[in-house]
Amino acid sequence: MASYDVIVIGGGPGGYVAAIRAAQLKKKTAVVERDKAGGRCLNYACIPAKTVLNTAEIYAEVTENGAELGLKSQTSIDWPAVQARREKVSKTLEDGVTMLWKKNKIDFLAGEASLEGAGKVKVGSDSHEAKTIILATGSVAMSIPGIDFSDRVLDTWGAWSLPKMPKALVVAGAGASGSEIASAYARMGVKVTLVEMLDQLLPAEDRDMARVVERQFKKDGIELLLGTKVEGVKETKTGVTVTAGDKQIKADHLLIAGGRSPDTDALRLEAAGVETEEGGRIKVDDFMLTSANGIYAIGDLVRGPALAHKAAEEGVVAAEHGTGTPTHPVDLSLVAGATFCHPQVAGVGMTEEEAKASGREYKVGKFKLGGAGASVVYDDRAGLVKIIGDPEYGEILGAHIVGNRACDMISELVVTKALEGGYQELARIVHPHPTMSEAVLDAARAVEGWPIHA
Amino acid sequence: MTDIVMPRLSDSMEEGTVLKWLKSVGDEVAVGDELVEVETDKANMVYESDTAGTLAEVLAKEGDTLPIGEVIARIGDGSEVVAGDVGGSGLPHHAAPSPGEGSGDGAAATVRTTTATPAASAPTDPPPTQPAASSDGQRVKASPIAKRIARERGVDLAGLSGSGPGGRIVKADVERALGSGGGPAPASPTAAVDVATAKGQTQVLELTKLQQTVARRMAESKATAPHFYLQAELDMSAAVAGRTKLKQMAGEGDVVPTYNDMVVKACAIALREFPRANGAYRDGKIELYSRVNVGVAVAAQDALVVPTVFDSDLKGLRQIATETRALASRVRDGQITPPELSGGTFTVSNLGMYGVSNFHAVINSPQAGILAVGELKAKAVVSDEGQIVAREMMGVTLACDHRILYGADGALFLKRVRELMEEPIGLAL
Repeated sequence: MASYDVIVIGGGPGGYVAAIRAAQLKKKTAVVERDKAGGRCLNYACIPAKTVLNTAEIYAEVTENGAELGLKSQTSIDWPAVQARREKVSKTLEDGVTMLWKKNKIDFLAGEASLEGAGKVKVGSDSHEAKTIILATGSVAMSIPGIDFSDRVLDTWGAWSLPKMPKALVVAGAGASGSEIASAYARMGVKVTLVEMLDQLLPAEDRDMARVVERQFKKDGIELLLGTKVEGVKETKTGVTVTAGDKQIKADHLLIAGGRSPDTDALRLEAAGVETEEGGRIKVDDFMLTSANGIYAIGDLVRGPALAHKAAEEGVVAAEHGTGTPTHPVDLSLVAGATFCHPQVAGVGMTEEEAKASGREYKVGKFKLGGAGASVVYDDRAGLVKIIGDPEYGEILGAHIVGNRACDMISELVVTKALEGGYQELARIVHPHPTMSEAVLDAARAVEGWPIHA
Repeated sequence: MTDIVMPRLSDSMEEGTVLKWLKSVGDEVAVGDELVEVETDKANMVYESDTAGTLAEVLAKEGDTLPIGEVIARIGDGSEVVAGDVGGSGLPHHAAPSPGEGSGDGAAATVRTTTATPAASAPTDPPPTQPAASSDGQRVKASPIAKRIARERGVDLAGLSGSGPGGRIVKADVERALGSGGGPAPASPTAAVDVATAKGQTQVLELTKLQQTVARRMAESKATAPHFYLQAELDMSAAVAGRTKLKQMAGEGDVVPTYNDMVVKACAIALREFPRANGAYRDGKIELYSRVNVGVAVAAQDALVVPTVFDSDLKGLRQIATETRALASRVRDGQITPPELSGGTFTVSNLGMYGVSNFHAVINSPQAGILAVGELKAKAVVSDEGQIVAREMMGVTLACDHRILYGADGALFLKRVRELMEEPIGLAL
């Protein structure tokens, strides 16, 4: 039994950051993790996904566009090597997190944690005391009602770690994860059917963004079934037969990218009086404090989007608030979404549909990436920057980018919005040439009707 | 030696207070050099010397209040520095070459306004306060959006404390200040000793010169001018539709008139038609004016003034809109000058943006009336066909000085304003 200032339960992107922040504040800190440092993001979700997507991206660029770029090659996919690299990337990052914990003198308590009333955490058979406890156990994949996961019916982690290069896949769910899976495999030559219950690809995104992605998905040979439900699946020796709407689709696997549900089973929340709300999420205030004194919860356990970068910042806030350090709540309207399919989609704030529904006045500036000189250089012209502004004071209500560098480009719009810069300011900020970011500049000008390159 | 006297810096100025000497005894003074900062009843102004030489003697101490014409300093050729002066720096005598005699009378000098302070003519707004520290160009940590809202809504950022990281003022802080009708009051110039009474600690605040003027003139107006009030609800639906159209038609950078600009124009047209409304009761006589100059009350956190739109009846809506905007921004930037604050023949005061439905304003004496404008809001009204319909309504109250503007005259004037606002095409004539 040991006594700590702060115990963080879960070593994922939220938890590992919370632990480091607490340690920086000179608090005796431990982090409990039953699996690997870095958690699901780093070992089973974001990082593996982006690693495989990166290979798919380069492969498709060389095979489909090599001639245009002056490249001649015989390229093929070495799937075991792709998987080995995926493991290596995760391992490198996992070691990095472990090193950071060591450097900050954070104790790593291996095992599964549960709450034992106020200020007490049980790990395996050991009990520990902590003034502040931060819950950061993340979420688990949900299946579709009536369908169970199996060797053939896989969640997103299964999708990124397939033992063999598949020939055909059915992906259920065209949100961020499903679209990434569909895009990666389609660009590696796999026959992909993407099934979505709602009537829009990437249903949470601005419609203009979804349209650009849809065009590319069709070019990549993805069969898109919108407004369609996966009704059932029959497993055979060699694969599955999926019933979606009135279609029967044969494939190697059914991959389910449905939704995620908070991973709280092992925590014994009730023992500490931690209240939950809709969807089993833990109720928290602006500073991530739960209904129980001294217990905080962050990331996928609480309201808001299930995003690693949101969890990390909430971890900082929880660590600071829990140690009596002045802090600022995370503004969820400033958490950008980032989807890494081809083309990427990134956005912050309101979509145009949301702005319209709110009944407020708004102005839109759109600028196609093709108008930026850099896009011709890279022969990568598909995409769009869209800024939704409040005409009264120029506030950026929302900003959205679709294009191959969207997830790297969105940050300047997040920063502008966070610092309360208006589109007027953005329109006067010099952007380096030749870069894709010049499209952001012209989109800001476009809100006031004067894009130079359109 | 040339005498420098307390200058008359505005038509209503009787005395001035020396706020700060900008030169010390012994300093060389060139024509146009800033010599002294003076507080008048209307503004704090920098007095620029039109006499060259060496500041020989300072007679008025900082804080002294002197009637106009009183000698406050002397400028000489450098040989007559009086040691031990109040403003003296104790520096050794400067052997300054004298470029020649000054203008002689010492009264003529150019004046630059440093800080706009309220005119005494916006009776219904919260009492003006001493300018906060930001107007002097100190950097205020605030976001661009916060600054823009503050500029357009007349909030002085210096009076706010920021809730952003590092105390940065963000949008929410400005909105909170607007919501509560202004941020925390800026520190008072003179806070006096606490006296414990049954009411707890008492803080006694000395009035600034401006506050004294406001207090005196408001009390005089209410006590001597027999006010009566005429209220009306204007159907602004056509004006709203018209403005929406103007907005759509407006090109890049075009100024779109506000509803208040329309009220100014409507009043101006009506004032032209009702000469008594455009007059004043002064010393048992009625004065009628040939020019129609509508004053527009502009609220700023540290300043509350009534800049004048001269010849409002002859100006188009866009010009009125452009001028009121420019005037308001000059008020907020502390650039407004006394001539821009005087000469008004009628006043419009609008508190609609604070959600006030209707209110009674105190007449800006000796004017004959003041129109108080409330919030524009959709309301259920009974139409001519007997149906209950939603219309954009705006409450206005005309306060009249019964010594010049009688009930029927006032009512006809208000009726005309109503016609013009309800059929706003007339404003375009």
